[in-house]
Amino acid sequence: MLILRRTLPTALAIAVGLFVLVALLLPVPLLSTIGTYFIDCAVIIAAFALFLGLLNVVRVHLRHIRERTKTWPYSVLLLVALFIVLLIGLVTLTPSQADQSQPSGPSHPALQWIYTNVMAPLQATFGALLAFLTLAAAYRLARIRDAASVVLLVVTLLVLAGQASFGLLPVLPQLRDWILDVPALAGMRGILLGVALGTVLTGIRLLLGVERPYSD
Amino acid sequence: MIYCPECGTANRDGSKFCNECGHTLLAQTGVKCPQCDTLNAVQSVFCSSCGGRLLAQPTPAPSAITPPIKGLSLPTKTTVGEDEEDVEQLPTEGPEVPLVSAMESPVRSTRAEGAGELIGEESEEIPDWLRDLQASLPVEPELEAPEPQFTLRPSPPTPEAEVERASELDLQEEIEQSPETPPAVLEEAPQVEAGKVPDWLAELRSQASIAEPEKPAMPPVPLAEEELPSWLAELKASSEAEVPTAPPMEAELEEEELPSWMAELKASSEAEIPTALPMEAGLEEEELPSWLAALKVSSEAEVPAAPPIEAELEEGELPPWLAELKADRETLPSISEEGPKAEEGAPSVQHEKAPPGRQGHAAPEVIGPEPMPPAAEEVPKGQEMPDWLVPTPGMGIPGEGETLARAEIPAWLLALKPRELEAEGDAVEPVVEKAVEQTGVLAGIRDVLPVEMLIAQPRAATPVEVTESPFSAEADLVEAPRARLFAEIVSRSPVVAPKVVAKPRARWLDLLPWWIVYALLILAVAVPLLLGEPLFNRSIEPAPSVEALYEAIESLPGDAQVLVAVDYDPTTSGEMDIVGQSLVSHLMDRQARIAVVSLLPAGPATAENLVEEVAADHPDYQTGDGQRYVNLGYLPGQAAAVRLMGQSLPYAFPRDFEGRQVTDLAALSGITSTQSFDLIVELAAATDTLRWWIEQAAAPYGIPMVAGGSAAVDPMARTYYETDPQQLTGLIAGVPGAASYDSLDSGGTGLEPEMAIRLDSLLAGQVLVILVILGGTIAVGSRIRPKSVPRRGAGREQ
Repeated sequence: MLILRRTLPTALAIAVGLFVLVALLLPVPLLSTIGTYFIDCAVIIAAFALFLGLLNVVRVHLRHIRERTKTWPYSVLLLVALFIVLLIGLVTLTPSQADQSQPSGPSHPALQWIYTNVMAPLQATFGALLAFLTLAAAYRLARIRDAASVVLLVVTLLVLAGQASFGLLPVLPQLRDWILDVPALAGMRGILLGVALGTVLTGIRLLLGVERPYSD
Repeated sequence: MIYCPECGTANRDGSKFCNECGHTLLAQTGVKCPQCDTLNAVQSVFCSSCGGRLLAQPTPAPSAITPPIKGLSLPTKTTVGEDEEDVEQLPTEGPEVPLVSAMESPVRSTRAEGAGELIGEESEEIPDWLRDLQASLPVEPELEAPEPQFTLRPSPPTPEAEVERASELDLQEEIEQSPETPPAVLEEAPQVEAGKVPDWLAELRSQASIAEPEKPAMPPVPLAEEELPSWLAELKASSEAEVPTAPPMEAELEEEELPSWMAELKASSEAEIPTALPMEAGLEEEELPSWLAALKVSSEAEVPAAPPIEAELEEGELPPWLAELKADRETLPSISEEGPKAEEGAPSVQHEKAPPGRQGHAAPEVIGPEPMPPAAEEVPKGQEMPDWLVPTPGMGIPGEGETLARAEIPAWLLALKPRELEAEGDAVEPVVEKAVEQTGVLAGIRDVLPVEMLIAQPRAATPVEVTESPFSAEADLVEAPRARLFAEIVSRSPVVAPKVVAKPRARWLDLLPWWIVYALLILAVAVPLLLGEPLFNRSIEPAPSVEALYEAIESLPGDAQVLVAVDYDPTTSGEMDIVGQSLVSHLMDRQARIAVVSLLPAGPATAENLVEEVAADHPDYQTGDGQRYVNLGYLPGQAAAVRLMGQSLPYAFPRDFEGRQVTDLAALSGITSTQSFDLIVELAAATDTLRWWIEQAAAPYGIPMVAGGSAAVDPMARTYYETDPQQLTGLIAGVPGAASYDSLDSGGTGLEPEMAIRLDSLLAGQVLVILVILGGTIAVGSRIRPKSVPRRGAGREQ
């Protein structure tokens, strides 16, 4: 059992990773084909992870209903909506034999209606709430403690002002563009370099078997 | 008082442990009544519950006749009741109960007192000379652990003893009245008036006639006249002829009245108060009577603490009483032998089997190692007391060839007896419960100090009820309230007082209700939209990135195949739809074949709505037949999916969003992979999707790519635009970027009214945010840190 839990996953991860890396570096058709196959397997696994997330949502909310938590009625509503949409999608998955031209699958008019009239407005509402939360956070955003906090406050106000005065004032929009093109860009490049180096290091550790997030 | 066997410290009655060393005193805690098992205080004679006798009633001596002591030359004088005030007058009724011995002062000499009391028990028969000698003996140190003292109970006084006592009291009074009376020595000594027969002598005479018939079991061995010691012979003569003199220590008579032997003794006593034997008086050797000389010789010869009872006399010369003592000594065990055995035993009192030589005598109330000196009546008159007998027998060390009779082991000694010896069959009846630890780390160990139960046991959430107290009832009355209080305190859960945080001083801005601010925000955004007319005339100057993007689409050939990645969901559709509509509209104007893909699950549906909305403004652009437009749908896997598309598009998307075969669609004719597309347009609301497309599609395959993102993506997207070679050909961000793009698309005629209204709404909202930030800075954050306070790291500030 120890081999199945530790050794085999580690060996598999190392082998596949090296294969894909070598296929990327060496323009060998066979390696490219095998590498493509491994990437396709990753896409399938990611799709299956979406399905596992769906099952987890069902399990969690079923527990809420079973334990009669405070929000168990909302769990009931969620599960009901989930199964309705799932059912409609499964029903419309295959084209209707009566009308072959009618789209099937996710583009079916029924699912599109649900998306357009239920999902999109709800998600847009959540996005709109962010504005109010951002407004409340902006109230305590700036704390003048030292020079750095003063600079932060000034830059924030300038960028906002430049954004707001777009097309109205010639100076503020240019100042905003300069801030984004020079200091902000430099900082962002440093962050991206760090992210890239971290990604490379993590990949090397995974390929060498030092990090094993997939085994015990 | 209970004396600790370990250190000898006196402790109060009822104490369980020594106050000085902590040694257990359970064995000496009390006396258990054999009838009702009630635990009584130490030194109790009768049970406090049933009245039963706790101490054994002494059996009378089998014979009151004291066999004459051979070789003893001391005058005998019987005094009775000398120590009676120290002895309890016990009734003769009651059942025989074991005697419990109590720990008394360890300094007290068992021999002296025991001998004295034994003498007192048979005081009417012990000659006065013998008692005086024994009382005058020095207190010998204990050889081992402190000896137990026993509540010896003398026998009831005989009529002769009563007479003697009365005479002594009279004598005492006379002595006190006399100015020449020695201050400390023997106050009880009777005064002998001139010409008057001393009481002791009279007593002696009477006892001499009575003693023998009172001891039938021990037939006296009369000594021949020639065997009597000289002092006795003299005494005998003087008793018949003249007034006998007082004992040497009591010299009160005038010099000319004293007999010679008494005068000598008086002289010696005046020279030195003898605490030892009279032979220490300092008389000349030749002046000493024979008996005194004999005593002196024996004292000079390093008399041990326990001079052996072995007689200087030969075996055949020993009087019966002496022989009996000798036999007792051989059979009785020593203290050292008995001590460890009785360590664990209960302090119950049991009479050991009486020594064989003393069966007829009273029950030995003293622990065995020291056989008591013979009673006075056992010492035959006229016999000389051997010097070994004058110091009372020692610590029970048997001499060679002698055996001691088994003495009765007192209760305190039995309490010390180990358990393993108890298992051998000794019937030891424990008086109190053995202190065996039941819980905790010391479980199973004996004689462990009992602790409070709440400490020994794991503390429970609820108070522990102490139902059974290991202490006595008396202790419970005192300790129970304290124990309950302690248990209550310990069982209480800690109450942590809430930390009082000083409330900062409220400013007027803090008092402003936030619902007003929210309402202002809604008004600011909604009013321009509701007005339907632009509030401001704007002159837009597009940024270079915007112009580059426009050029990238504008330069597409006819029927170019463009891959549009719609990577946003309805949450950000308010901003991204404006950006996406600008780009898709331009592509439709260029009649490019558009293939839409998404890395988000909700992306295909969002894209479908976007395209439908834009297509409504482009009636010549057909999106339903698959000729110009195809929606490939959702591709899971994030970066891997983008990489997979770069390898083979039909492999990644066998069917489109509507379920049609990808290979059958004209919009994707000639498309084998991402590398086949002319342009990639990324509509990103987050930086991740933009990076994936750039890293996995645009950069590795050199595919031109433009991006339209939210204002939050702009800082990161610029890094890809400002590279050489550019990884992003063009970039627009947010509503201002879309507005700039529209102005370019309209040919520089200005903003369309709808776009202008959106900009007015955005302006109002952003102005309100600026005002809130300023207000918060003034109300909350306007505090300069003093220089003394160390500055935190720059990273934390951000």
